[in-house]
Amino acid sequence: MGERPFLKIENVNKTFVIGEERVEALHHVDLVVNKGEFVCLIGASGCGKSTLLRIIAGFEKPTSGEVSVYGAPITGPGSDRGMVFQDFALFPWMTVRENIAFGPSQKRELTKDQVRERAESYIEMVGLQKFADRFPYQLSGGMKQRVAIARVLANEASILLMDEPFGALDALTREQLQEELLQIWERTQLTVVFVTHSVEEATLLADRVVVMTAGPGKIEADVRVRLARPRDVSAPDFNEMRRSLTERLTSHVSRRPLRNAA
Amino acid sequence: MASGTKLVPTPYMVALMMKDFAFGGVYDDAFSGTILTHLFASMQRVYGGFFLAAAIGIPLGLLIGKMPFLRALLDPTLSLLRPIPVTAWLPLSMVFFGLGPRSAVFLVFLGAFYPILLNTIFGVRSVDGKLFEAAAMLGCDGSRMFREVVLPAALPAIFNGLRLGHGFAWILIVVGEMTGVPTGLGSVIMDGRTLSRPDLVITGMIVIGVAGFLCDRIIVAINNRVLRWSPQHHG
Repeated sequence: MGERPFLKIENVNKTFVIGEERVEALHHVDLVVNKGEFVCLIGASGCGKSTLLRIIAGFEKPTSGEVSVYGAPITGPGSDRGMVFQDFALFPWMTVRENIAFGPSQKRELTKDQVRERAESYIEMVGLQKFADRFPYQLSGGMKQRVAIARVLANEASILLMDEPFGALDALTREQLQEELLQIWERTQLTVVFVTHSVEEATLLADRVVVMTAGPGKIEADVRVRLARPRDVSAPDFNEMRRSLTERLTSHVSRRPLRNAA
Repeated sequence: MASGTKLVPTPYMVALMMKDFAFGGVYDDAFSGTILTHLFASMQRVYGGFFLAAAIGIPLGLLIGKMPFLRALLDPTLSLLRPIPVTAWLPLSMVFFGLGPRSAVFLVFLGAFYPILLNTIFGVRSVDGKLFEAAAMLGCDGSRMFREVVLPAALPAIFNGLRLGHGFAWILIVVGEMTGVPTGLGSVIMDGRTLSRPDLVITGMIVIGVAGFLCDRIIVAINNRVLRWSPQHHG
């Protein structure tokens, strides 16, 4: 594509030591994500996809290898990368408005009015004007995740990291939020790295689907999804894409019981 | 023991004593109409010790809870001092602070300090680590992290500690006021013992019980207001 690499993951290894045991969570992972791309990491549980996301976020340090943004190595959490967690991780003592204003309020260069203004505009973006003064315990799961997304957007992160963000939501809410996320992504030119275990979700959302396999976690395939947007989940080409991804995902898994049985 | 001395007074005798203690006009002795003097003296010591315990216990607990090296540094000392009953400090506190109210304040402080400290540490350590991660990624660090995330996240546990510590503070005021102070509900009870006036002893006990209860209600009300974001922590 001739673009300068935006988010670059180079030869990243991660080994966890749990008691006496050493667990290799990631093995020689290389990945380049271009600016504005929507990349889904997909794989069975234990394939290291969440670990990789946490390393990009700066919450974990790789055992070896490097993650960099425009060549600048990531050394810890930073406001250029925003994480949306599966269980929301909203600050329970803050209202919707305060949660969304939290990132901007940390920036010294913004005045109180600017912080308020920015919070309001993102509250509006996710359609929570009526709920701005509520506490998280008074919200539904879908609303909580909207707040979490708005909180990261209000912080003006350029990379949105999402760790199975819609996994805890009911199907209807999930569909709605997927659609809203795509609209936001198209409007803001964000780069999104999205972890999921749903092939359908990955096919619906991603420009690229990175298939990971477990034991140790590594990248098995990197598939470009060339379906026109907005995508129709009932279209034949969508189904074909989904089937081929499922095959890649399960080919590695289904070999194992056969080998055990032999 | 003098014959005819009733060791357990009738409720009527206690009621009479209470009336005299509050308003005077019954026995007209040194205790008549002195309830407010003693109550305020005790409250000053209870809240002096309690607020001192909170002022040291909460920040220290936040730091120990969040910083593993500080925990490693201080935990042995704290764990060693903790099992010592506060009453065992009485002789030493009289050496340190002499006979008087400061000794009582010190004992109340000791009694309230540990529940506040330990609950604060526990509160910080049981916060979902993702909240700290979320704050860090939103650009929060250093002292703002303590003020804006660690403290509020630990508040439910801190209030638990404050309530426990507050209870101990009222318990310890009697012990603290055994150290030869002329005023205070603890000294009234001790005087009642010395003078063989069980009605006075029980009157002092009732006043402490009621005052402690009412003050606990106030803490609960503050708790419910501050923790309005978490109905499960309402008292």
